[in-house]
Amino acid sequence: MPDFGFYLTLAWRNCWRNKKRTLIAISSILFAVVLSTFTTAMQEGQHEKMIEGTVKQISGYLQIHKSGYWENKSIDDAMVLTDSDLISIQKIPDIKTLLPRLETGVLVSKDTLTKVSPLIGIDPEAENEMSGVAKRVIAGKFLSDSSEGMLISEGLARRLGVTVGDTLILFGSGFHGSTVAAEVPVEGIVNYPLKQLNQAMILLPLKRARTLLDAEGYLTSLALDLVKPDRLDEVKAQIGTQLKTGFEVMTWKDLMPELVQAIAADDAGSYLMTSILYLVVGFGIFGTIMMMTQERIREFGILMAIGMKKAKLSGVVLTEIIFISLTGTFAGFCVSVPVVAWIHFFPIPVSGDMGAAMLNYGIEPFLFVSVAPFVFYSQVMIILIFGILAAGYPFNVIRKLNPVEAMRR
Amino acid sequence: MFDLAWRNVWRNKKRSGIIWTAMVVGLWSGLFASGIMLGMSDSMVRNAIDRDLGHIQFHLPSFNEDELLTQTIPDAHLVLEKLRSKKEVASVTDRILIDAIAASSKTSGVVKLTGLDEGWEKKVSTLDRHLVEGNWFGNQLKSPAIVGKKLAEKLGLKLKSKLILSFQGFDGSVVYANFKVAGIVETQSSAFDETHVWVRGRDLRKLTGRDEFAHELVVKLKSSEQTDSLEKAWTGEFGTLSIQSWKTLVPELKLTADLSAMMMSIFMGIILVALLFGITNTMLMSVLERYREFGILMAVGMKPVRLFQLILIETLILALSAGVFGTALGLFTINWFGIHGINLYWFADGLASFGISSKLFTTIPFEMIWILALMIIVTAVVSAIYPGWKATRLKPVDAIRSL
Repeated sequence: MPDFGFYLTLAWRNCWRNKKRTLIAISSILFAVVLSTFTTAMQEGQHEKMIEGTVKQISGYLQIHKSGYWENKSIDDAMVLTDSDLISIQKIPDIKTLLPRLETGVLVSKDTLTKVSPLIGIDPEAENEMSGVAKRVIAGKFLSDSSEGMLISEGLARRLGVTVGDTLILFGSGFHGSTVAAEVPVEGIVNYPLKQLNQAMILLPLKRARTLLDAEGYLTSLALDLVKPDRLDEVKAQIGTQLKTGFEVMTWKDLMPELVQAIAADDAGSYLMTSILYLVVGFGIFGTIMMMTQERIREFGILMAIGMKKAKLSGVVLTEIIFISLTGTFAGFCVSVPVVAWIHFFPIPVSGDMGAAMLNYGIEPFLFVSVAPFVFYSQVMIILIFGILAAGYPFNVIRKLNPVEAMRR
Repeated sequence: MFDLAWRNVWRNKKRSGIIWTAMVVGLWSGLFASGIMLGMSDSMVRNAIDRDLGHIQFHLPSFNEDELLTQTIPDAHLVLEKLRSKKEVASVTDRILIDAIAASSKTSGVVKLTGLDEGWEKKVSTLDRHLVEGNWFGNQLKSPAIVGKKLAEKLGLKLKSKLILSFQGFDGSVVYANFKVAGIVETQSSAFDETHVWVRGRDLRKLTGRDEFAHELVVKLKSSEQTDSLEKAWTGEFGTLSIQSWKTLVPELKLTADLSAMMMSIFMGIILVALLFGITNTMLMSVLERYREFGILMAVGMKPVRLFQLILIETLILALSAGVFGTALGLFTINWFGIHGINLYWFADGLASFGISSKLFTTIPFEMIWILALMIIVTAVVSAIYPGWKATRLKPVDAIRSL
C-alpha cells in the first residue's frame, strides 16, 4: 500500500515552492483546453446551425405518418389522428409545436403553361412558428386559417408568370382517386432560399386543402418541432407508446439521410483539423513539461543522493503533474465556458461579400458556436489525458538519472 | 553576439531541439491542414466542373428562366465552330435540355432529359467515366439512353430495359418515344443520379423534327484560371447570348468553397495562437532553467539589454532554420499527398453527397506558403520577447543561488 499522504504532501509543496514554474505549466494546459474547446464548439456550432436551418425549414425534427407513407408518399396513405391522439402527443414534454400537413403533387396551370408542384395543406400559424415562413413572403400576404387562396413559391410564380391576385388552375388526383380541379387565387408569393423548394411549392390552409383534395379529417403527416433537439430519441420512443399500431415515427435523420451524410463529410474535415490542433497543443504541453524536467535535474540528483528511491521520486513527479493537469484543465474549463457562452449569445458576424452570399442562401451570416455540454467535458478529458501522458518524459529522465552527473550541472 | 547565441543554441541540444521541433511541427501541420482544406474544396469544385458543368456555359438569356424547348440558341452550330477555333478552349459540346417524364413498366418520374453529342461530350465532361454498367452509346441499340443509377433503381430499369420518355414538342403536342437503357451512371451525387437521363442529340432532333438546335453550349477551358476573364470577354463578343461561368451558374458551389476557405483561415489562426502559447511557455521554462546561467552572465558584467538581444537572436536562429525546414517538410507532404492522395474511404459516403471524391488530393497556392512561414517566424519572435524581458529582470545574486 503506497503512502498517499507522502506523495500528496510532497507534490503539493513542490508545486508551491516554485510558483512561477507551476504557473507556466498550468497555463500551457489552460490554453490547450481553451483552444481545443473553442475549435470544437465552432465545428459543432456549424453543425447545429446546419441541422436547425434545414430541419426547421422543411421537415421538422420528427414526423408521424401512416406506416409505409414515406416510401411512396401517396395521399392514399393518409391517416386519421383523433383529437385525443393529438392531445396525448402534445402532452409529451419537449414537444414545442404540432404541424399537421396534407401533402400531394398537382399540376398547376396558367393559360397554356403547366407545371408540376407539390401542394401542402398547413396550419399557417404553427408552420410560421417553426420556420418563420411569413418573413419570406415577398408579395401579398401570408396565409391565415380562413384563407381561400394559396401561397406559391417565387420560382413557380416566375415560371408561370403570375402575380398576387391571379387565379391558377390546380389539377390532379385527390384522396382515393377523386379528381381535383379547382381555380385558386394567389394570395402571396414566398421566396425560399433552398432552390428545390423555391422551384415549385404551393401552400394552402389545411381546411381548404382537405376540401380540395376530398380528404376531410385526414393528414399525410404530423411534423413536430422540439424544444430541445437533443431529446429526439426519447421523444420518439414516447410517441411510440402513445400511438396505436399502424403508424411510423421518423426523425430528421431518417427523413433527410443526405443531411446526415453532409454532416459526416464535414466531420471528416473536422477530425483532421482537430487532430492537427491536438498535435500542436500536445507539443506545447510536452515542451513545457520537458523544460520543467530539465530544469529540475539537479534537484532530482540531490534528492536521490540523500536517499530518495527512483520509484518514489517518479510518484511525486506524477502526482505533481496530475495536480497541474487538474488545475490547468479546470481553469481552462472556467475560462472557456464564459467565452464560448458569450460568443454563443453574441455570434461573430460575417461581413462583406461572404455575409451577403450566405444571407442570400438563407444562412444567417454569423459564426455560431455550440454550448452542448459534451463540447466542454470532452476537451477537458482529452487535454487531461495529454497532460498526464506528458509525465512519461520525467519518468524516463528519472529512470536514467545518475545522481553524481545530475548534481554537477 | 551572434557567435555567442549560435554556441548557446548548440550547447544545449535537447532544449534547442524541443523548441525547434515544436516550430517545425507547427509549421508542417499548419501547411498540411491548409493543403487538406483547400484540396477538399478544390475537389468539390473540380468534380462539379468535370461531371457536367464545364467552365463556361452558353444559353439563350430567356432559357435560364423558363427552360422551354423553344428557347434554343440561334445558329448554335456556328457559335460552336467559332468557339472551337479559339486557342484558350480545350473543347466545346452542345446539349439539348428538356424537362421530361421517364416511365418504365413499373412507375414514372420527372427527369431532366439531355440530348448530347456522344463524341464531343466525352471531351468536355467525365460522365462516361461514371458508367457502372453498360457502355457509352456504343452497342447496337436503336435508341440508346443512359440513366442515373438511383433513377434506374426507382424505375426498376436494367440494361436493355425499355424506357418511355415523354415531353412537349415544338408544336405543343406531347412526344412519346421509346428508348433502351444502354448504360447506367453513378456520380458522387445521388440527387443528380435520380433526375437525369442522357440520349443522343440526333435522336431527339429526329423525334422533334428539327435539326441543328441546342439549348446549351458547354466550354471546357485549357486553364481554369482564365474562366473569369473569358466570361467577360465573350459576353462582349457574343452579345445576344447569356454567358455564365460555373461560379455564376452554381453560386452555392462557390459559397461552399469560400466558406471552407474562411473556416480554414480561422482554424489557422487558432493553430498559430496555440503555437504562440506553446513556444512562449517552452521559452519561459527554458529561461527558468537557465536562471543560474543568466545570473552568472550578468554578474560578470553583461548588460540586461545584451541579454535580451542574446535570447532574441537565439530564438531567431531557431525560428529561421525551423521555418525553412518546416516549410520544406510541409511542401513535401502536400506534394506527396497531392500525387498519391489521402484515402478517406471511411467517410466516403458522406463526402460523395458533397461531390467530393473519397480520395483527397492536397493542394496549396504558392502565396499561402510565404504567409504561413512569415507568420510562424513572427510568432516565434513575439513569443521570445516576453521570456527575454523576464530574463532581464532577474537579480544576479538570487539567480546564482537558486537550485
